[in-house]
Formats: sequence, C-alpha cells, structure tokens
Amino acid sequence: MSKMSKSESGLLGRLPTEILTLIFSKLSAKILGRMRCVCKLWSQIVDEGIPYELPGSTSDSAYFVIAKSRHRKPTMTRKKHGSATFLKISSRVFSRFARSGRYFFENSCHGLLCFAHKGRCRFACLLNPLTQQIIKLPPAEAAAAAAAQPTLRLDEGSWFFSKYGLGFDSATRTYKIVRVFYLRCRGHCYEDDGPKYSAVNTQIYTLGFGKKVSSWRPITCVPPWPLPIISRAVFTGGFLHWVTGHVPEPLISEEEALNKHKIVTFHLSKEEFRLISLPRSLFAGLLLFYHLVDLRGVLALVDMSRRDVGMDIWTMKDHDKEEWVKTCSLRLPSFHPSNISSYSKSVIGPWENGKLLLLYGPSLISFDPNDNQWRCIYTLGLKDDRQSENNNNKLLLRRTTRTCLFYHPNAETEKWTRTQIPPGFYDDDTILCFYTHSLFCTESLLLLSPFSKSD
Amino acid sequence: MSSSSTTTTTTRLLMLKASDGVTFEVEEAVATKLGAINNMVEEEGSEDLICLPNVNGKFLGMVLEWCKKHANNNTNSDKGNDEVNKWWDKEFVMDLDQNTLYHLLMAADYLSGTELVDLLTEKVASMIRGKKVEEIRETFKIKSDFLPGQEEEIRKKNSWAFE
Repeated sequence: MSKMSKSESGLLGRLPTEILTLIFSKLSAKILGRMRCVCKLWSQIVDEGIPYELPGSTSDSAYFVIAKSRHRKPTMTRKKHGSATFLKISSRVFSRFARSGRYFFENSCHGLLCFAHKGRCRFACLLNPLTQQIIKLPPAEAAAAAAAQPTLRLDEGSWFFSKYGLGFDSATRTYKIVRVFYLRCRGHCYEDDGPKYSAVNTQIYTLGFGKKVSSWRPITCVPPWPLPIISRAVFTGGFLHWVTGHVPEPLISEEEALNKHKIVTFHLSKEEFRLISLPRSLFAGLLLFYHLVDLRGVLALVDMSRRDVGMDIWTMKDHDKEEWVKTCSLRLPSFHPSNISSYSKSVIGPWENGKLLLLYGPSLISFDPNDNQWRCIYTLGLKDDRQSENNNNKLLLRRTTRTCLFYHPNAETEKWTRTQIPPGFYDDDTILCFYTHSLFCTESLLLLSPFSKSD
Repeated sequence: MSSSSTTTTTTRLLMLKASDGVTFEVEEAVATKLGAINNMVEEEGSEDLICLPNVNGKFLGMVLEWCKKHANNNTNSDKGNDEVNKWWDKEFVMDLDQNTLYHLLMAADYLSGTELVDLLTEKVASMIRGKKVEEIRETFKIKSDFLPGQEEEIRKKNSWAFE
C-alpha cells in the first residue's frame, strides 16, 4: 500500500513536532503512556505535554487549559507560547463535573484538583486531569456527620459547610486534604456585624505514596478566623493560605480593616493554623480589593484596590516575620471602565521571562512588569487556536453571542472594533483559573476550566 | 458550524500557483477556507494570482478538492450538511497512503486549513489507537533509539498504560 523505501523512519514519523503534537493531542492518556516507549522524540513530545507526574520530574513551566470537550476521549494539546507551554485537556470526566454543576473547585496542588460537593458538604473528591482519575474521599466522620444533612439553605436557621484545602506535605511526601467543618448561623456572609461562624472541627485526610490512610483524622486545632466560602486556598511553601475577606468592599476604618482582613495559614507538616497580617499600606485607599496568588512557590498578594486599572504585587519575604515586599506595580492597558466592569481582573500566575499571566475581562494576557508591555493570549479551549492568534494584538473586551469587541492597543487613536467571533472561539462564559507550583521541580500548572452550561 | 460563510453572490476567482507551476482557478469562497489564503486575500486585496511555493500541485489539488466540497456543502445551509461533510471526510481520508497523508498534512498545515489538519491528524491518530508499541513502530517505520535498559525503565514507569 504505502511505499517507504530508503528512509529509516516512515514519513509520518518525521512530521514536524508541532503536527505530531496535534496528533498526540487526540489520543488518550493511556496510549500516550505507551507512546513514550516508541522512540526518544515521541517520548519527549509526550513528556513535554505531560508535565504533571508525581513530584520529582523536571520540566519547564507548563500551563494547562482544561476545556470542555466534544470528544469522547480526553485530549491534550500542547501549545508553545514562547518558553511556556499550554496544555489543553479536554476531558470527559471534567465536563461531566462541569455539567453536573454539583461540584465546585476548591483549590489545586501539583496538578491535582480538589473539588467539593455543593450540597452535601461532606463529600469531596480529587481529580487528576491527566489520568482522568477521580479519587473520591470518604465522607466526613461522625462528629460532623450528624450535622451534615442540612446544606446550603440561606435564609433559614443555621447550616453547616466545609472548607477544603489540598496541599503537599514535603516532610512525609504525602498529599493532605484539610477539611474545616463550620456551623454558620443566620445572616449573610458579608454582614457588617461580624462573622457568625463557628468552626466545629478540623480533619485531615492523607493521601500518600504507598501509605494507605483511608479515613479522616481529626486534629485539635481549628482556624483562628472563619474561612469565607468563596475563599480559595493558595498553596505555597508548605502552607495553605486563605484570605478572610474576599470581596471588594469600602474601607471603613484602617484599624477595623486590619482586624478583619487577615490570612489564615495552615502548615501542612506541623498541622497548625496561624494568622498573618496583610501589608499595612493595603489599607491606605478607599476600597479593599485583593487576592492571593502563587508566584513560583512564593506567596504573593495582588492589590487591586486602587481606582485606576493598576495592580500592586506584594510578595511574602519572610513567612515567620510576616514581612511583605512590594515587588511591582502593573500598569494595565486602560479602557473605558464600563467595558470591563463586569469582569474580573486577576493575576493567575507567573509567565515566561518574569512576565505574569493575567486574566483581564474574558481575555488572558501576559504582562511584563518591567516595561508594562502586554500581549493577548488565546488558548482557552479553542478549536481554532491558530485563527484566533491572528487577533494577537487585540484584546477581547466584551462579547455577545456572535460578536465581540476588540481593543486595538497599537492604533493611534483608541479604537473599538466589532468582530465576528471565529468559530469555536470562547463558547464558554466562565473561566476559572488556577495555578500550582511544585516544590520539587520547576513545573507549574495552570488550569483553566470553562465551566459551561450548554453543549 | 462556522458562522463566517460569505454571503456575497458574486464569485471572484483566484489563481493559485503551486511549486511545480501548476495553477488552479478556484472561487474565492473555496480558497478562503484556507486560513493562509484568506489572510492574503484580506491583506493584499486585489491580487488574483497567489503563488504557493511550498505546495506541490498534486497535493494542492487535493486540498482544494476538499475545500470545494466543504464550501459547496456549506452554502446550502442545512442540518444534514454536517452529515454529508462527515461522510465525505471519511471517504476522503479512507484510502490515503502514508506518503500522501504526510504531504497533505504538510500542505494543509502550511495553508492553515485548520479543519483539514484536524481531519488528517485524526486519521493519523486513528492509526495509533489500540496498538502496541511494537505495532506503532512498525506502522510508522520507527526504529527505537533508546539505549539498552532505557525503554524498560520507561515501560516500568508507565506500567499503567500497558494494563
């Protein structure tokens, strides 16, 4: 049928890496595991596409995009963007999660994702997006179980909820999932007259290498401050971090804010909670608006409370002394505020060459703090990545079902363009970003999951 | 499917010249299924002759044949067209030998025919699925270039893939 005479390897084996990657992206993780054994080049392609292994492997920065999939099989696409890599995973398992709407994402660590059940807060599971493996955690133990039937009922009586945090304990080389069980009394989360939660207990589940610990183990301490439901744990340097205030809110008085806004940390090895303070100058403005992010293993705080579109980034210099250092100020491209007001801005994580990866409205941008240059990145579960790259110098600001508004930063006058959305482009509204960093290697992981309602 | 089909009824013709001098006259709507050509048309506007020095006439012809089918089927916008396209795609890749597949892929990639690349890469992927390592090597005529022991080690590490 085919004639491949003289060459030592078939023509198809000699396709450019880029095309081979496309082909590989259509294969299941299992076949990819086998393809590692075919030859060095293929092994390398697979390896570069699968940066997540158990801690110990080394690879460059890698970014994952989890996208909703029309395919049956999980697919992975490696996407070079300078020296950083995107890996797009379309996952049946994941889209099932997304569609059921019953699980929400808590946090991630080393590429493992922790999800909690929305209604029945005793249930949580871990997902390895690459192997498609779901690890269901056993439901909570007796102390909490009795209290666990009523779920998120907002306006009547009290209810219970759990906060989960997944981290890695480097001392024992095990993953630990921390679950804090809360009793919350009548009222809303952000009422001024203080929180009305009381932590019932804290439990730990260990998931390890060879170690088979299969039950929740209560520990004696509880967080010194309530963890808001929407606060997401950030894992850096052996600690889990939660912020105690999470929404933009007007600043009433500095002292009050200082007391209210803290970071709750949990030391994975020592298994103890502690409170640390935020940088004081955060409270200088009129508004409080910030979030935590993992910048290559260093805890960073992104302050967005200034009224312009800038962001200040603080990094934790010394965890014990609670010493923050202002690392940089970002000047973001400015637009008419109404165009982005409904969207979030946030720093997702580090990008190549000291740049940062930002979520800006519905766009992803890479931003260089040194020269305030930015670039738009399109990789989110796109069918037509290549096509959308043609729009590289425009920033997607707002979209409706069929058209979107692009901003041309290079145009002499600030111009708006209405553009047809390329097919397959942004068919998802909500983008969830998260990023983890491994202690053992330079690998890092960004997971972007458009949880969609349709399709 | 794609919402960006052209609505104009005037059919402009483009001349595409392959590396070996073979030229093809195609409707703009057909040729612009290829991202690269679409860009050139948009940028250069009036230029009607497009030289494609990286594509051989034989394969350019095949690529255009594919585009034509898809462009035609897209014009009478019907739900059934998806089926027709799918059926036709299947037919198109069915008997491709590796040599043709390789050159078509290179051509489609060069011309940014995203959908065609997708179709062809899927074809190659289907040649890999369900195969053992040795079978994959045989199919693609690849010689293992691992050092002794290296392969065993990788196999051991990926033992889950061999279950």
